Amino acid sequence: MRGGRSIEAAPDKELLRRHADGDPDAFSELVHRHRDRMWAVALRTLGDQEEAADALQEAFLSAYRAAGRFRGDAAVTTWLHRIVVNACLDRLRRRAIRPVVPMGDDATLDSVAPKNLDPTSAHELSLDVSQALQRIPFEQRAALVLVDMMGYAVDDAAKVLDVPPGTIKSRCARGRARLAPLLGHLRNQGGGPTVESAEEGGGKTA
Amino acid sequence: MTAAHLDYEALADFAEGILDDATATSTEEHLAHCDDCRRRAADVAEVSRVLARAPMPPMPAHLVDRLDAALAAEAASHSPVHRHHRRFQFIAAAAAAVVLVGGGAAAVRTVMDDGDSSNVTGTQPPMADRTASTAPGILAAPHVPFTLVRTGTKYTSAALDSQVAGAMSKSTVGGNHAMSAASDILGACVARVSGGKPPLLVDAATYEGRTATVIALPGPDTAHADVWVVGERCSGSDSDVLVRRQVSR
Repeated sequence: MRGGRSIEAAPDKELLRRHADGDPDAFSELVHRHRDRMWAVALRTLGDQEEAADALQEAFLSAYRAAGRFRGDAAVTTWLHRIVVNACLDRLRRRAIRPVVPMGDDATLDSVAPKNLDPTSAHELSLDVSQALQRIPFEQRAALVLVDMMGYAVDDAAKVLDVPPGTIKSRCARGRARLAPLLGHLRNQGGGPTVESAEEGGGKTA
Repeated sequence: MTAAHLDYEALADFAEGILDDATATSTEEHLAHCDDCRRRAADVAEVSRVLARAPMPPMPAHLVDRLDAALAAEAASHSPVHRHHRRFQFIAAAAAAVVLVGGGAAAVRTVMDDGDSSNVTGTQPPMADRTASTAPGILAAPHVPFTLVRTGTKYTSAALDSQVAGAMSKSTVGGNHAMSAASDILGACVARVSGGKPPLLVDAATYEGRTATVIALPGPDTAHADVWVVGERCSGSDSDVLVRRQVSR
């Protein structure tokens, strides 16, 4: 085997280089290694399995094609995360300019309409994490997915999103501020330690 | 000292440590004696904990299949070994002739091994095999002999293995289901997907409820088949792969 090292033992960067050099096995090993994490990022960013799978597919395909342009100074995982986040953003933009549902087809519209149109706090309280995340701007969501959900350091998230660490901190803070009233109902589920403040519930701002 | 209550944003900025010193100090003083704001600060802190423990459903198997199939199709249609394009074309012409004579995949493999041993080794997993052997697809419509059957199988992701095995045993016994003439487009599709290997099975059927063609090719060994499920758009220029999987024969 070229490189004197088995595929499984090769570091990410070597796999990417081998793929760019024409090794037909290298890229599938990279996918195998990182698919679960990339899936988590895409699903949490988009909030929908089909959309997330499409974004992940686009991301891996562009990584497959762009491997030769990978700059060796970044970590491969950082590069892959960035491609996945960008693929998610692309899908959101496309969704925004071209509604999936054709206008004027009432039956179709009814079938996809939200089941609960009640705009009161009761509806807010029923939001789960995934739905709540879809209520905040993409930049804040992407930062929170990486830092709070995936557990990456602020500096690493900054590299993925290609912004200064201070920007990640402020996006995370803004995102948490917007999610706090939406997720207040979840704070005592699962036996958390903060039982004494349960009566506040929705957490209305003064 | 400030009397005004703090909103979530100020509290989140405070917790993240991004307020200027003066604002941070006044926030701290306010929190020291305001239960309401402390409670909201706890709400903000709780957001990170709720996010961290949110359940993460694994990628469903059918979506994993779709991803693998898309990457396999990409590998098949854009072999990364462009440097060897011309040589592959030449080898492919030889290989196609071998297939027509009936020598089959083994002969193709031998030619390719000898031709470019630095890139193609003798024992490769399926995707690699695809990359090398489908490069000939760039030739004008190579023809692969196959019989199109309609077993009437409603293929599903969950039962694909046993369904393919069942369909293959039926089609080798022969005669108990309709055979159809394949369109030129399907012929080109099969040639593209098979990369010159005569298929074990080409079944015009449905997969997960949609019209699909199930193409089983010889696998890496005699115990396995390399199964491609392609959609209606499959042609000589687009594989339209829905799923690709190794199944036991």
